[in-house]
Amino acid sequence: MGTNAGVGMSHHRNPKVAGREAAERALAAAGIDRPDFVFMFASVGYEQRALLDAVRAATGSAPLAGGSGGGVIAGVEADESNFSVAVMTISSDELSFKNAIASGLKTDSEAAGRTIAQNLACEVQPDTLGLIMLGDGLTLNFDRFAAGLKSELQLDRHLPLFGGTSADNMEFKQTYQYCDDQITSDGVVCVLLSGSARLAWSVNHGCLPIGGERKVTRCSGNVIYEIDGMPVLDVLKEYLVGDEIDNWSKAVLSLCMAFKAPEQIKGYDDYLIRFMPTKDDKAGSITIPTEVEEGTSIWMSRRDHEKISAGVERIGEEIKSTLGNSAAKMVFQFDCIGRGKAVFRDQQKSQILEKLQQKIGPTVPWIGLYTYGEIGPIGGHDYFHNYTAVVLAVY
Amino acid sequence: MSSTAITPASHGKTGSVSEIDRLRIENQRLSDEVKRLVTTEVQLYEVQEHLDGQMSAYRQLYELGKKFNSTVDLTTILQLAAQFVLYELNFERCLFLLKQSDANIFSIETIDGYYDDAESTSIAKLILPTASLALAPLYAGVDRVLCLPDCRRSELTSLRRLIGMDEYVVLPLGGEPKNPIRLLVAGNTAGQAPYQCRVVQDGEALLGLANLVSQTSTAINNASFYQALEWERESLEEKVRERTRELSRSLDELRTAQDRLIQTEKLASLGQLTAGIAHEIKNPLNFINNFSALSAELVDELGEVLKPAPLNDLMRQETDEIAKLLKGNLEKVVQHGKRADSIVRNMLMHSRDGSGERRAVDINTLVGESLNLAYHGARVEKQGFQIRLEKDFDPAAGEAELLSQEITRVLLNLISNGFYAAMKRKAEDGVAYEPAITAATRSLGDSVEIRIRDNGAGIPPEVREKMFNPFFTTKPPGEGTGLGLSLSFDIVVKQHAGLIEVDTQLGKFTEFRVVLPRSAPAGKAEAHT
Repeated sequence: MGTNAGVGMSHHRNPKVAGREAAERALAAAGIDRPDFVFMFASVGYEQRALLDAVRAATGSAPLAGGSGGGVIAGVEADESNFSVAVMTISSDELSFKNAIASGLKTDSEAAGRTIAQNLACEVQPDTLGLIMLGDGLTLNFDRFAAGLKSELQLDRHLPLFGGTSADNMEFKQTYQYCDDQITSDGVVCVLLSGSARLAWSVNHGCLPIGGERKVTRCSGNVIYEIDGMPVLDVLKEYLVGDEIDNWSKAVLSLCMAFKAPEQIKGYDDYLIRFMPTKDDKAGSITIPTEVEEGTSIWMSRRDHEKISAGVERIGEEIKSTLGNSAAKMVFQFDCIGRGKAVFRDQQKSQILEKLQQKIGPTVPWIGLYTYGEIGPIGGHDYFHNYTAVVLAVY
Repeated sequence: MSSTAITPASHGKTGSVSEIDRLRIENQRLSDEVKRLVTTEVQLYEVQEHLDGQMSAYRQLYELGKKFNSTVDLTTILQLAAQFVLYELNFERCLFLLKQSDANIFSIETIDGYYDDAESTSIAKLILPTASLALAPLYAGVDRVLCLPDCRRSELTSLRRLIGMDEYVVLPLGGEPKNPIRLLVAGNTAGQAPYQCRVVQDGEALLGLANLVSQTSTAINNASFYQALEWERESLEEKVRERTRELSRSLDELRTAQDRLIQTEKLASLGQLTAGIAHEIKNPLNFINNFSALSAELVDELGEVLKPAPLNDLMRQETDEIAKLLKGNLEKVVQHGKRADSIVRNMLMHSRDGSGERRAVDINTLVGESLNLAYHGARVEKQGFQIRLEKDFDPAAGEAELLSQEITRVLLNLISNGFYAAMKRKAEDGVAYEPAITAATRSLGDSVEIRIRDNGAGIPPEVREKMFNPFFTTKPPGEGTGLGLSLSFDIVVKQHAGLIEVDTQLGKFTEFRVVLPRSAPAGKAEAHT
């Protein structure tokens, strides 16, 4: 039998109808009645419980994992409204998907990593291919989560991590993670992917530094207080229009931080990009999703249309090269919320997406999420990214 | 550029520092320039995004206009408008309320957007008085009512729970400027508002809503006009159908009249023919009747003559027997000769165009007398004859100018036929059946109606078709000449320009309806022979 997968999307404003429509379309596209596993990516405009229940009902309560985003992708359709849901249904006798959920990322992301590992450790097999994860984009400390996960799993090989952080369409209030019937916030849902298949992926960002090198001069964990001895918020104001800093969701779409890429991934790019999901006016600080040390060099950065477009083309070429003559069974795309409608007009966005899918396989079941952060390995190491696209093909 | 290779140490250092300072300044200037360019780009993108949004809104309104143009169904128009509010203007909920023509209230006409079941049930029952304070601005000519999230006005906040929206806008739709017939309500709940188009003062969405209301009003007006035209067309078509039905009825009546005319003409021709034949037969028949009666008497005389003759017993016996047979034969000739004479007389009557003088006759008296005459005649003719007689006379029946003998003949004929049919059924059904005959009259203004109804066996369709034909009878030989109804038809239709028709149901009844004009028709004022 192999693997049958299909993707469906709905924009209906009624969550009960939208969930059912998307699931039924996915099942029809896969040509199956009852899936073995379901991925669900959704916008935050919906009443989440009604939406998840509708998808669960339509898919026979098959195991499910997913998260909310700034938008969803199904095939060549990318929707960044507050009302869209994409569902991928999978039936396979060659792949297995095992899900687990943990919460409390804000308090202790490392503990959440350990919890996930404890729940999935017994499912790790020699043919385990990787872990797809969706964590709360407002509270995930990726470095600590990955440390907790790996310390608990104690694997003698690299288990690649893919995924993104769930979003709430720049509201920065509450994001959602789905695992079977559970809906949580400040949590992370992970799917262990095993079986007789291989993975092809590519990671690319589209940012360019603005101006010269600057130094983090005061910080704590993933919170930055000062740059070049100046309050970080004052530094940011140099790059923003008027009182744009007061509209944080808008400010962080146009401005990000670039860190010097580690030596082991020099071939990837000179920089790793970091998003600033939250600021604290009282403390005069901003938060980034990974740890930072004083003295670290940073470059304020901005997105660049041409670099993004070229980067997406490169993603297509790299995955196509890895696939060779093999066909992908399914594709997951985790794309930064700052690379969608914030940069491209609808038509441009569709063209870029269509071009990418033409390269990898125009008929491949393709599901994606616009995220607050992206996770994808480079050079045998797992990294957290921002303003980046991570595309994973299972083949 | 390498700073270490270009200048001597002392000057070089100074020069190098100066160069570095210059480069630092230049770098700072470029950095500031880049920042400025970045912020300009952001502003440009915002302007572009804004323009894109406006363009999209115009395009969607244009598309909506096309959809409106393709339908005249009011429900569809309202659904399209509500979908536009939700999917293009991005409000969470949308209501259309319609003013009830017979009461000063608005009630729900269309609900769209996501409501849970309890909310839907509640909202569907919403009744909003036109006198509601919340709507007062609309009746004062204000083009919308806004309830913003921070609104504290009680007349507006009290509406929040009723319509299930924490921020909303109400716009009038249709009707007079200060007397709307519909309301469009769009808005959001507090929980969903961050993901929706916010209700704000002077927001572009309000402009979109105003445009939508304008287009929807036009579409509803167009639909109403179309419906009015459609109703008018249907009305005209119905009138045409009714007129066609009338013409069809007229045509049927014309055909019936034509058939009757043909029948009358046939009968007239036949009458002339039979009159000729009857006249020719009458004289020889008189000879036959007279001489057969005379011969019968002669047979008696022959017996007297032969009495004294010397005949032996055998011969006398044979002579008496032959004389008896001869007399019997002659009596039969006389009997059937009289019958033939009766037929000939009837045939001659047929040929007449009327007899006697027309005079005003009281219809009820005429019918009553005919009924009595027929009844007593039947009782004389048939011992033990019993039938229930009913009269239903209209006091207003009044008088009519008639050939009374002829009409009496018609009535006697119809009543006799009724007696016959009732007796026939009595013979079949036995004691459980009570024979009855009803004579009724009714004034029809310029004419008078006489109905003779029996509760006999009814007339089968095949008989009904032929029963006015001369010499058609269902009675056994010797009991009817087959000229009664034919003669009646002739008298009523031809002599009196009246109408005779029959209604019957097998096993139930037969009713003859005779309609006679009160005054003699033109050309029929005088009796003709």
